[in-house]
Amino acid sequence: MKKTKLLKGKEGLGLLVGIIVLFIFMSIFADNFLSLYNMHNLLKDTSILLIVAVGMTLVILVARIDMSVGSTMSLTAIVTTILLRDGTHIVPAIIAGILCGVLIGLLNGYLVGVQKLNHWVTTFATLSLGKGLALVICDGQIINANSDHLKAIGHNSSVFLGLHVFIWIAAAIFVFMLYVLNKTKFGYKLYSVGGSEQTATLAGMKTSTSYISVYIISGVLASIAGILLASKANNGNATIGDGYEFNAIATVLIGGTPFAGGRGGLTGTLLGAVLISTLKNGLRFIGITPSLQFVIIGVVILIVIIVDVVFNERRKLEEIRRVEQ
Amino acid sequence: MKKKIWAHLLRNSSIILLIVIVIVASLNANDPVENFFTVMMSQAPFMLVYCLGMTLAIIRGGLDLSIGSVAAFSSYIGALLIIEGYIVPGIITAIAIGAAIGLFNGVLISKINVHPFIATCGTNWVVRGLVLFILAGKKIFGFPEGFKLISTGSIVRFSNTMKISNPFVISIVIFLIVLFVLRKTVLGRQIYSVGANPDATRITGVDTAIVTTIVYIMSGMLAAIAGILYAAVLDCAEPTIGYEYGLMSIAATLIGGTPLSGGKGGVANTVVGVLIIVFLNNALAVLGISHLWQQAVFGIIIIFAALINRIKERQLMLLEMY
Repeated sequence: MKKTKLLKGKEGLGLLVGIIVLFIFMSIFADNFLSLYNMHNLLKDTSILLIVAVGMTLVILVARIDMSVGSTMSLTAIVTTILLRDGTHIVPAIIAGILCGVLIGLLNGYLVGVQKLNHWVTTFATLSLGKGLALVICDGQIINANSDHLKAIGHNSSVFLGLHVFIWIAAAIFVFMLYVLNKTKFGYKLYSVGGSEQTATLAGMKTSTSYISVYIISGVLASIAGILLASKANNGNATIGDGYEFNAIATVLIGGTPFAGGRGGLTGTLLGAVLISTLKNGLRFIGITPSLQFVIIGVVILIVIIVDVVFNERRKLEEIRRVEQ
Repeated sequence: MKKKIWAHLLRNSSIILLIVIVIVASLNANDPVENFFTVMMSQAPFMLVYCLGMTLAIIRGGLDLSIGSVAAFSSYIGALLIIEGYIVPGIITAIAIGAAIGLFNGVLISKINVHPFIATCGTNWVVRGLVLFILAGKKIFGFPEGFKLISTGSIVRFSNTMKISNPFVISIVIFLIVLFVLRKTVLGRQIYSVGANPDATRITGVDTAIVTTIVYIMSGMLAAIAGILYAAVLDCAEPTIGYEYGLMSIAATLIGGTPLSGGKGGVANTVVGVLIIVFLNNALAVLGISHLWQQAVFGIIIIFAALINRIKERQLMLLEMY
């Protein structure tokens, strides 16, 4: 018991050290990286990634995956901006956008939770479905929202108590989900379903509702992130959320929630989000071309995943040994 | 009796679907025969080649999402040599690169135990980034005539559109080789066995890691061949080759009737799946539906094919019980 607690502390410490090293490295090699303006920007980027990654954490906690978050972001951005362009009020436009996330989450949840289809391929299919619908709706064009309200959310000047609105939204979502996951029945259920679906079923839980609700939460959070992304530029296009699924998965894995499910939590995800956004922001600052950034981040994510898998195998072996003793 | 007919219908549901789609496409085309030939000779062969690799990976109980970027990367590197006149070395290099990336995937999956989906998705990401980085938006074009003939030439020629094209023959030969490997060799049976139950297979003394690695190497090589064929018909190697390969090949394999659970199905099913996909594409085009719908439609196809496979398995199990 003591050993596992110590290990947990070490894992978080390793992440912190990683972030600090990255910060020192970047501030040496990139001018203006440590400026107040860039730090604020970095936090803004972190908040969008964090919102998506919080949903992904819940999905990975129940040993599933959600590949469709990126396309949900794009679809939401397109739907919201198109409604705003056509003169709808901002509130129904945002509700319609979030509804897209609910629907995609419901579809994912039904197929994975009730029909028990392979979660990788199902969410991959909804990824292409969502992105395809976004392409069809916007006709392959960039949609200019032309909305002062949307602009007001994402504009640089919309600060509250010194911090940007994005950061407050992300913080609120994070704290709320932290409460849900650690202090409510629902959160406990997720951990037990992720630990072993069979055991949870035998204990009398209805696992399918856990899967459905987790996917809906992930879809809704992706939608919120999509709206924030759209508000940043005051327009939407069908590729706005591309690649976010990978960044979110990497964030969650770095944060210490393994694919196997049942372990980990949101605090690690927060540190992971800071690490990934720092890396992205710093690479941009050093002046590396976008396609090479793509490669570097891809390699980092692959390494993270391999390390996760190797650690998990070792842990399993250790557990077997403990049981045998 | 009724149950028997039902079982037959279930087993051959993909062939029935194919016939329906071909009829829909033909009814709406200006010249049905010409349309049929165009699809069969110049669209289906390219797709069949890379779908065979995906089918192997799915039978083994995994997936290979990297085929699209492998096709782009290997055809680009091959094109660098081919444009200088070294056609055969260029093609061999391209296939070798495909095999190398396949080897990387295979080791990642079999030795390190990374989930096939995430491993191949990661390689896809990295290799696509490399292609974009190295090419930087450039295109290579103006290949020697001899190379272009690989894809544009034909063996038997009745008219401009009605011909037996080279890619068709090449894809049939590759198909027969893969079919032979799967059905008549020890390796083929081992692939099925690993897909059905990897642990039991390992206990019986099969080196499952090597079987898995060979499957991904074959998949990478087939993707490279598809990339070369495609570069030859386009007369151009560009970074955007193969963006949709992963999605299309999963759709084709699943709808052909090879389930994701592994150990079942086969490449003959995939031929039917590929024909369904190309004729569906053709029908969408003939009916005047925007190509923007393509991605959404394939997403829906994958979901339905996976659902149908699930229902089929359940029903057939029930029918066999009684």
